[in-house]
Amino acid sequence: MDNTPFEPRLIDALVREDRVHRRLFTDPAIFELEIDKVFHSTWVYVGHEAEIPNAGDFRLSRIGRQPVIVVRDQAGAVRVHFNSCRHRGVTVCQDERGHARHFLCAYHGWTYGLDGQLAAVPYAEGHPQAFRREDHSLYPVPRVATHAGFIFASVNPHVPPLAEHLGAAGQFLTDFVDLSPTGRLAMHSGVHKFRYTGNWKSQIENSVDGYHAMAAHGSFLGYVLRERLGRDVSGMVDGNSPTRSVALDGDHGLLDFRMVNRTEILGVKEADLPQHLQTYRRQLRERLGEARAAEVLRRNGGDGYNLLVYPNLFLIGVQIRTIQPIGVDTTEVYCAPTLLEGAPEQINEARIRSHEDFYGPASFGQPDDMEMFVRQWDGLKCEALEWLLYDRGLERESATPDGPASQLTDESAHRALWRHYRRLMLA
Amino acid sequence: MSAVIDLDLRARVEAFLIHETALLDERRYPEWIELFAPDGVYWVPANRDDTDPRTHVSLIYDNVARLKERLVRADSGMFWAQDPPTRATRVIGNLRVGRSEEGLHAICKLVLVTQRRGQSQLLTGTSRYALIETGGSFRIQAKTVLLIQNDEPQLNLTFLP
Repeated sequence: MDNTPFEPRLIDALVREDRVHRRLFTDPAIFELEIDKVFHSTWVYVGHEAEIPNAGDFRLSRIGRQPVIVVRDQAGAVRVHFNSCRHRGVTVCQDERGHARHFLCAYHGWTYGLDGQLAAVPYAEGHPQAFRREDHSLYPVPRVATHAGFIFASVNPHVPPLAEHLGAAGQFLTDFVDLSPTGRLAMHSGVHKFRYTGNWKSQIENSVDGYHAMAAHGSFLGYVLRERLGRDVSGMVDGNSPTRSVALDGDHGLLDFRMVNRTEILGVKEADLPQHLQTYRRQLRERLGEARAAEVLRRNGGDGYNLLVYPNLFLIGVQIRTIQPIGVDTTEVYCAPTLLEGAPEQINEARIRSHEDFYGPASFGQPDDMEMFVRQWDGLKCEALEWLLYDRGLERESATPDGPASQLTDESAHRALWRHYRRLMLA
Repeated sequence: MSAVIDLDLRARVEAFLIHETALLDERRYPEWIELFAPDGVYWVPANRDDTDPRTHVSLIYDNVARLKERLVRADSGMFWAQDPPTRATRVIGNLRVGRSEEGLHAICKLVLVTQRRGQSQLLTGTSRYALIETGGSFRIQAKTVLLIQNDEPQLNLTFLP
């Protein structure tokens, strides 16, 4: 059945409000359509300005399958070029990140400026007289826009404005960066990289899935963390938790933990906080003022939120996570912890350790999630199982300023992602 | 120090490291953790070999307390990433043993082959040990595993390289 030709309009029947068809996870023809209709049509996150602070700094990225260079040019502007020489298509930049004065195609020696303009062609007299270097700049990705330093690009020149795409998600990107005493992130602390056998949408929805915590992460929540803290904190994520699954306006996903403050749960008063935390809070108040500092800390000073900006950007804990679909059955995930520029070094070291605690490939969290994706890939071969259920919370959803929300273990966020998917796939 | 004593020391260190890696192959983690000094560190850098773990994320950066938390997780009955477990064979070689002002250290090459869920994986690199001599044997002050794959996407390293 999964080998039959695929008609795009069939998506209409395969994505329903409370369920989606297993074929969306397993059909190679649908995967090809997703690359075209999702990754090559909407805004895709390609990097953060903190990764390229100076002129000449670059990082490589991908929009769907297409390799791009994200670079800060001599004038300080962020540029996104396709990583493909205009002569024969050879990539002109090889390092995942670094600093360059120009981009050299090593095959025949064509050289491009940071702004993408073709600067030098060996033995140019061999080309016909009509050949003009200015006609052969690196192809720019048609649309580039940033929000709070998050760089988005689209290969679709007709994509709606970024602000429209982000919807209610934009404020959460701003809040994440506003945790920094200077308003800037630092991103030189490395990245955890993963590859799993399974579909990219398994990781997408898992990142805003509150329901799995008690089962999939039971060894951490019920055992390790209980022993470490000397008390059971599973009430923060169980079926009675005040935390929420939110369908953000714009059809992005949010797990909202803002109403739970771990410091308060553990009974720690501000005056009892270690010196470096008090210093940090003072820095934040000085930059943002009392009210906004309190707001930023309230919004992500406890456990904050998990945010998914469809289709490939996640904010979870201190990390910026991206996913890269490789094939219908192969997905890569990159988790990069962010540091807060100007914050006491204990704060930033604690951010790195807390990230390793749960999100590294030998950590106490992410490997269990990846195991579920692999099991799901195998289990979805059962054709008797036609529909995957996303019905939790349908009868207890309520309106909030951010969008419709239900309890943490419900699936309001998932339904937003599937609505987003359906809209893009049927466009 | 005479060459004869050096050879004896080298042989004792080699026997210790063969024992240490065998405990990992056999998944005898409680005994393996006992090999570490109380303030010992087990470190597997991420992305590059020359990072500073205070400012750069690691694949693993464990003190003994965290290693022991791994036992709690393994005993929970909910350690899904090791259900089924990763089976592994570690071969060590090219051993160099030396003394410096900082103490006794050993460097060897590691070839690690893993098998899980029908998938084989070849990991390889260099292991560095800072050792403390204790009445004829050794304790591990620090073990660092520099994988040549440390910048590649990983499947699952919860078996501990």
